[in-house]
Amino acid sequence: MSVLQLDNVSKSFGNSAILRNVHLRIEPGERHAIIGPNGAGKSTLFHLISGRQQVSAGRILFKGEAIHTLPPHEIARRGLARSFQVSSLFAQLSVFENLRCALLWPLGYGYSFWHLLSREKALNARTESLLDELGLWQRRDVPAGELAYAEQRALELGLAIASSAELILLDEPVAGMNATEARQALALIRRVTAGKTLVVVEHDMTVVFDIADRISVLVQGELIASDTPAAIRRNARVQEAYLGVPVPAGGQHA
Amino acid sequence: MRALVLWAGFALVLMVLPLIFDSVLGVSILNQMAIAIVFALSYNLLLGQGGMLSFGHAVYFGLGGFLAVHAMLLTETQTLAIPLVLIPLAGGLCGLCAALFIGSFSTGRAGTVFAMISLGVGELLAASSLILVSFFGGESGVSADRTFAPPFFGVDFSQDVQVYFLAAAWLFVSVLGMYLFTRTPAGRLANAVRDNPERARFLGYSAGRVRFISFAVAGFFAGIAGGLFAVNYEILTAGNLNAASSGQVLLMAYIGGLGVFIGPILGAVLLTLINSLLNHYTTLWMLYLGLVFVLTVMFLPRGLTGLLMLHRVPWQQGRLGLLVRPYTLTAIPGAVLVLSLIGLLELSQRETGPFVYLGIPFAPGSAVSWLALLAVAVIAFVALRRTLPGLRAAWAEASAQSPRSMHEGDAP
Repeated sequence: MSVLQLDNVSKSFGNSAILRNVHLRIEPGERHAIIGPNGAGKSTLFHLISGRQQVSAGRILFKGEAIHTLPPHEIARRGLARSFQVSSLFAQLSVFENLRCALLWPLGYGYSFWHLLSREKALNARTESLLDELGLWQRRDVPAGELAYAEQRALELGLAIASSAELILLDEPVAGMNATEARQALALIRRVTAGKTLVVVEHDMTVVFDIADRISVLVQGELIASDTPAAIRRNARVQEAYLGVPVPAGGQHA
Repeated sequence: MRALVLWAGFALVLMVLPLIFDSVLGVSILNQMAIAIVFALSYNLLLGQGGMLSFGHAVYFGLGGFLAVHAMLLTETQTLAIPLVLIPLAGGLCGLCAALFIGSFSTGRAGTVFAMISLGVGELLAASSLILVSFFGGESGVSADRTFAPPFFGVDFSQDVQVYFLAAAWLFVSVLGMYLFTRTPAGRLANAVRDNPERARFLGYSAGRVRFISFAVAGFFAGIAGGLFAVNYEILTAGNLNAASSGQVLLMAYIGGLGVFIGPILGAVLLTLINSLLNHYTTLWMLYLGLVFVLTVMFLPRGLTGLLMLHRVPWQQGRLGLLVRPYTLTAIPGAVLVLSLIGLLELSQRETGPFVYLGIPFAPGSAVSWLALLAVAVIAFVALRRTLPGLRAAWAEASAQSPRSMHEGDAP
């Protein structure tokens, strides 16, 4: 059974159709990239899957169950986590507190007002090891709003992966980074998402061909191809519609 | 361990205070402070901790207070013997119930929607308090006599200082309770939802539910404060749950500082002092209060505790000494300016007769009086303009990060 299945999903705002009849299947353990030019509807697709926006038509199944009618927090509880293109953190809380908040639901605290956070050893140990994993332990007590850009991106990723969700959606995880930062971020992503199903929206083709084992191409709201990286490179429609220039077989990507 | 010492110190201070301020006025102000602190801290659970701007928090204070008075009346009429020490709890439970009901539809959204609903509910209650006479007592309010309650280990609460110890005990329990709440998952999530409700949703939490919990807890403690008010004053009127009371608690929390837990405590202490002392000296005290608020919003958005916290970096680096001279240099013209402006305001208020201000006789009819105060104000203003840059420079120097402290993360 697919982890994620989109059947005939459409989204329109007023008269303008953003997504048209998107069919997509993501299998367990897959590392799937969604590419496409600006305004193709990639972020909207993520918003629909994660429940931030409602589908206009079609349905979305997560592990075989319909989630397109659920509010975001209930989708998240089922094991679907996401990151944001523009870092979306708890600005006044420390890095440590940010990550601890992300662990509360997965560790079963719910809305508890009868636990004292400082006494929860397992929770705090998990938070510390997450800090370590993200390379943010030196910035443990700094408010998230005061972090440098790359650090904010690392924390953004941390909030998404903290829950050990089965399916992780990353929206342009390395956007705005320089080459060195992007390389480090990619290594981090690979490390922390090992063994999970990953869907990434990304502009940077280096990143896409590096990380994905399947790629879907979205152009003007339509999914024109969904295949392996090699097949996508050869796909004439993709080259014409998206890459612009023909790519020699087996050569470097654009 | 350190926390335990702090709390023990807090309890000790509460016990010693009535021995120091043992006059009738002193004890009466201490009682007011205890009530105000609980109320202001409960308000900060909404605004500072949860990002909910309420214009109607006095509703829960007032409802708790009215219920507490009725509970005292039940004892008075010998229907039910409720010990006086438990009356604040009755108020708290009433505040909690009211908050559970109103919160169920008002906490779905923060921001303007929440603020408008709180304002509407507040106005609704204030209006009905004059209509529903059986519960609110109309214009004259509801009063009861606390001494009818069964004595508590021989204490009959006929004296204010006995009431003080009751209030101090509830104050201690309430402060501790609210502090601990901020350290629970629900309390921390309230901060998260304040900062970014959307992200909290994607971490599995309904922002509305998180706000609802904070709202209920805030209502509970506001009700306790209302119950303490009932015990202390033995009367509640419509004025206790109207917009003016709601505004007062907003001022306390804001002036004290929303960002630090103890901020509202400082604000409550300060505003209680202003309210109860200043009105002995001037009819303009409301104006001064308003000016303090406006100036706080403009220049100290983090309140008085925020201003104190700013000194942490210079203090950690041992550079507070750099600030002493510039502070003194600006404080002198600053104080003169404020005092001369107050003099002008007061002078404009007096219609006839001499007006002795700071030991100097002034006359509202004399041009000399006006010109003298005006001249002092102008000179002080010019002097302040000249000393402020020095203070700014000293600040920059004192709070600059030293190379060592920039790597403090390396320390174990």
